[in-house]
Amino acid sequence: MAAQFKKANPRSTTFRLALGYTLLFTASVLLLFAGLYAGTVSFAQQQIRTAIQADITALSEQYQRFGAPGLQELIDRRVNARTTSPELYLLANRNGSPLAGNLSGWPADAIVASDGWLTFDLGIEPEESGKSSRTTYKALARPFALQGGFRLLVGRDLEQLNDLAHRLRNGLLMGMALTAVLAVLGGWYFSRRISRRIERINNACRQVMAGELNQRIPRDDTHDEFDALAGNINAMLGRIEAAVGDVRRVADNIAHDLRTPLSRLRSTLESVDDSDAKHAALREADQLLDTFSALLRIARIEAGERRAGFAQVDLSAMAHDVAELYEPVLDDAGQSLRLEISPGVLAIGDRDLLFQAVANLLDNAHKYAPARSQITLQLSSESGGATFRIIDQGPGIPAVDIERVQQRFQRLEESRSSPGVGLGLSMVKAVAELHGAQLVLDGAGGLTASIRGI
Amino acid sequence: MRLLVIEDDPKTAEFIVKGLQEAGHNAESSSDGKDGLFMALEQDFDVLVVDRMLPELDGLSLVRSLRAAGKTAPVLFLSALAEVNDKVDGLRAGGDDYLAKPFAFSELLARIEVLARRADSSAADTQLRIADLEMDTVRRKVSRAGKRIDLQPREFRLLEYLLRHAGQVVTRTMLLENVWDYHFDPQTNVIDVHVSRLRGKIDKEFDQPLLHTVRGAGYSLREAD
Repeated sequence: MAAQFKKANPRSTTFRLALGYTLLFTASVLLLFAGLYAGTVSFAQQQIRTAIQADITALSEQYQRFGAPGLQELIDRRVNARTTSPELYLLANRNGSPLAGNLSGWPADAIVASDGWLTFDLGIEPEESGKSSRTTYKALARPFALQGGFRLLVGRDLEQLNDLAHRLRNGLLMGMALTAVLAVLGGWYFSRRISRRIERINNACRQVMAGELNQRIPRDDTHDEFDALAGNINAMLGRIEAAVGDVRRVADNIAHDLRTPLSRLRSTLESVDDSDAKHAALREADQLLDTFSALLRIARIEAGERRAGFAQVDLSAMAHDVAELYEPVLDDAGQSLRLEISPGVLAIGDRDLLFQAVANLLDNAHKYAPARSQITLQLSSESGGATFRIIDQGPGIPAVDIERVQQRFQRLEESRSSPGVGLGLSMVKAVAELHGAQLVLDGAGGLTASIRGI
Repeated sequence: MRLLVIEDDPKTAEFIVKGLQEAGHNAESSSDGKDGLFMALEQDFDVLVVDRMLPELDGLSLVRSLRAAGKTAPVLFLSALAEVNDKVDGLRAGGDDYLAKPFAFSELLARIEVLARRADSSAADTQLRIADLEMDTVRRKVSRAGKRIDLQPREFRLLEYLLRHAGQVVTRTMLLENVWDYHFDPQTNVIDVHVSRLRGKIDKEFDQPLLHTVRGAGYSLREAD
């Protein structure tokens, strides 16, 4: 039976769709968030630069109006007014010695950008070191040369900006994770919903294939594509069931309407006085009736209705039974039967039909293989299912005729003279297919007939 | 024996009744299900031969009604429906045997006689004998004229079946179904070869043959007339 998928199957279309959708969605959100983050941080930096520029303008005006002492006083006032302010000031003389401000000296390791802005690490004052896990803060500053050799450095501690960026990044990452989780859950949910609906259709199809032609796919009245598909498949199954029913009715009618006169013919023959001609005629009539019965049997096997009676069959025991039944006939023809039967091989099937199939193959080997040759009956448990092999040392079947001999009434020219009407292999093929197995003929160097995968 | 044939095809019914009368039985017939059921309920028959497809009341329902009314006479179903499932349906409805149309009259007669015998014979007999041939089914020993005969297990079952139906005609299909327990159509005379091997063991060295071939019908284990 076909493998069923209940959990996520990496080959399922819905699973791959859901996975692709999740990845695409997560990637878009990632891009969006990255843009938002970069924009916010650069906007905040721009704000800081503008503020620094404004400070420089104000301070240089102060210097022009009140000179260095006036500027010094203003800077001291600003620094003292707000101890925790992010504003950084330094007024130095031409030697670089600090005159005012909250920086201890001109930053030595500053990175100077091409536009004149400085970035440097800000040492932490001892009393603050306990509060923060970081040892240094980044700072952004702009130097300005005043008339008279004084140098002014105005900057901002970037702690707040970094803090903002940090919080923003964490927030966005959380959002990302949440989005990804939602996308995965949503994808899983939709994939499962769709898989389930497809699985319902598959289940019904499998039951139909197993011979339950009256099975239908349950409709859900959503009138979507799946519902429409279910409706179409149901309509198709209806047509198939009607067609199979027609075939069966025709077969039953033939059985009833034609076999009754045939049996009357046979009865009339039986009431005739005993003679060789009577028995010859009876044999002919019996053969006609047998052919007819075999045809009807094959038709009904192909219709698959006997699957309803499937049960567990001990194939090993059955193989020994067939061998035991045929052994004397083979022995009389000088043919030896070699058995290679694995013990304990079980299968679900129809015991009588499987017996018939193996018997037919053994019968063929008996008819076509020469005297004093060996016929081998093999039964083995293989990965595809139990397999019967009947190997003879007869003339085999030319490759071009392999397909043909499995059709009804088709026989090889050379065997026209031997008894039989050419339904044996059709019967084997029908039985094999009823059991989901295959009849495989290999006609090179004797014939190997296999029923594979019961 | 008193036999009732319920069959709607007049020619088939006539043929069966005529054949049964020739074989020394008292046979009557009915052509529809209702009529046949009344006859079967009112009178006592030894065996009923019932077609499955009948006007008025089909064969399965007929036999179910008959069994519900407490009638235990053996029933042989006759039908053009010959699949195993159909047979199972027939046996479930209370039938005792099932014969597919078309059939050889000898097959029908053999089966009717076996059914009639089954009703009064005890299948539990462990000592079977005919003439000087003896079988002990418990110790699994066979001897003829005091001389031990060694049989293969299948030959033993074959001889046991023949002994239990000694004097009756046993067909090849009956042997396949009862001794081999498979329902299938052999394309070769496999059964004949088994029987001839058995014959070689029980008859060959003795003057009086016991296992006879009945032309066009099957085999019979009996003493020569």
